[in-house]
Amino acid sequence: MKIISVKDLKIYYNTSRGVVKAVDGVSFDIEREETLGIVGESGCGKSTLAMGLLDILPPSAKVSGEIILEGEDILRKDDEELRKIRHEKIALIFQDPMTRLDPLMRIKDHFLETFHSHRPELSEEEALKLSGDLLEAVGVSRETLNYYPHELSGGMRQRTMIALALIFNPLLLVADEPTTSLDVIVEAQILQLMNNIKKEFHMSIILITHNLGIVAEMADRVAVMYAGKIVEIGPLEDIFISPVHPYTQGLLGSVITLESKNLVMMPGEPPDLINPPTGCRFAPRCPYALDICNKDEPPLEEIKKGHSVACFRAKELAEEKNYYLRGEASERAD
Amino acid sequence: MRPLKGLIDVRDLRVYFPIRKNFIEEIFSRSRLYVKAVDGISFTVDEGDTLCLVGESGSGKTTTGRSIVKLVQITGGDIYYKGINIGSMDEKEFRPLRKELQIIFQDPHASLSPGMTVGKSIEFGLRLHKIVERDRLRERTLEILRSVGLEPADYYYDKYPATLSGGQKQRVAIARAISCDPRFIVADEPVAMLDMSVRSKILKLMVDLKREKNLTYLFITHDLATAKFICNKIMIMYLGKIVESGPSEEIFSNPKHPYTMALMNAIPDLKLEKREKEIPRGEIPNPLKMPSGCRFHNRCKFAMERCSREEPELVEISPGHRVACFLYE
Repeated sequence: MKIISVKDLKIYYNTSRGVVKAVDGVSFDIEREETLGIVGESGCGKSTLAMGLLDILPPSAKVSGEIILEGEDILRKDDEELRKIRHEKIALIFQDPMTRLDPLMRIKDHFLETFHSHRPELSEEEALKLSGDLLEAVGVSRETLNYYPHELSGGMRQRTMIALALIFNPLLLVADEPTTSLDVIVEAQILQLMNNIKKEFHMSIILITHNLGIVAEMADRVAVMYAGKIVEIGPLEDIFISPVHPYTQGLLGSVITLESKNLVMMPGEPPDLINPPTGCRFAPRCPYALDICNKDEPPLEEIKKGHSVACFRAKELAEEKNYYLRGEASERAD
Repeated sequence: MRPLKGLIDVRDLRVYFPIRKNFIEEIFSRSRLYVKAVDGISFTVDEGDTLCLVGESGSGKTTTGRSIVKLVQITGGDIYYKGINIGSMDEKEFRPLRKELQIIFQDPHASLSPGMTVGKSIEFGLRLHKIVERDRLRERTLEILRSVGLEPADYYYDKYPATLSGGQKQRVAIARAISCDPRFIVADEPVAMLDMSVRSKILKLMVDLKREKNLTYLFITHDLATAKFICNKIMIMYLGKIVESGPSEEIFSNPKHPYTMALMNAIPDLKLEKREKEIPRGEIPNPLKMPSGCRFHNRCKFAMERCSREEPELVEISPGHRVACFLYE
């Protein structure tokens, strides 16, 4: 069952330098209890996409397209309806919990405020009991309700944020770099927690991250973004074992792991989103680019069930496969 | 006293930061509270080494790095550079040596002056340390820019940092560090804030520069995978102490300290087989409430009764491989 369908979502920012096409025609679906990993580097539009899903973008943003949740387009909803959807249907956790928790409010006030605005009929006592239960479910003691955010460690704060997101048992949890500001051991703890609550609360998760290792651990499906577009999307195994898009190949090859011997050096840097290159946006950096790549934009096309790639040479690459992973690029760079 | 060794020889280094209290407390209480960021560590860095210092936030790795280039006041211990004790030097005495001991910071967005062009930023050090004649300044700067891969150098010379990407800024920071022909560079998480595809390029640049210019690195990172890629020796820190140190291959193939093992276990890798990870409970404790005995004992699955009472010494268990843990006594 589809929880949410995003269709041709475009998010443009008007700036003094021109229009920034942060998200430029992105489409995907998410199934129940599925984790979709959205990966990409800084400036690829992944965080804008996360905010777009909750419609919490700054006023300078122009949004078009559709986000279908339970048969209705949430982009057509008014503020009051949206307020209900946020938190009750779609909840969000951010990278840095310290900047999202109010330093002057105790943890319990964060919970009470949320209960008060969404469930005014609930008494304070009931609300506090539920809050305590939620905190315990994420591995934080009930007493934490009386603490201020600064009294908690980074891991505890992120757990508290997760508990807050779970209040109304949302259908979808959007996690934007949830562990980036944490240490590796705490990161592993939080990831384990997210996997557990996903099962317990029957949620779907959109996990936005630059860390491919986290995606390997968490995701069922992966979407790779480059310069505001999805360039490849498919099941985790397909993307990680036989990536087709040259960018996906390069990205995977440049990850440093304990097994790394050679690293891939992708030439160049991501483009400016005000003046993206014509044709395929990766073409100027692509070792396979043909003339057509600089003129026309490749559509996102299915090459096998559930696995789509936006590349004119996808078929060829899927067969010949893995220029980067064969190590030619890394040798060349040496 | 054992004979001095290596390019850098650090002995029993301690760096304590006093906790500021409010006025009333300051008057009435005698005792002062300290955060013991680095609490008695000794190590040497040999010429040509890349020594990685690995640990989580709060382990004291950055403080260690900064004390070697004298950016923090040390509380105790000695730091020898080429046999000279720089630990006790004041700023004036140290100045001639500063050009030989350089640092690259984590955040390239914050470490470059926004009001100075790339060229000026690099020339500043060249001029201060009188590395080249005035009329050769520009020429030398362009050479340095080319050596860190910022080409065309003329183009980058007049750029302001705000117009550069993170990777380019970090290249400028590296250019500045190597501009005065240093012997030794402390690199404090130089790639932590960069994207994956940029990270690999910066690491490669650092490896190339090291080879070309015979540099010695103290490379600070929280990421064991990066450490393994770049270093030949490694040191793991936890709450101001070294818990394990040794040659890189030895540590990675044969980790001994439970904390090292936990760190290795926790790194997300690209493997798809989902394994059940054993993750230690809790987080690195508040350094004001330092655990008794072994600092890791309350998170350690092997902890014995003794671990909460006594602090294990760092002892050599095989050539060059040292561990501070009672399991290996």
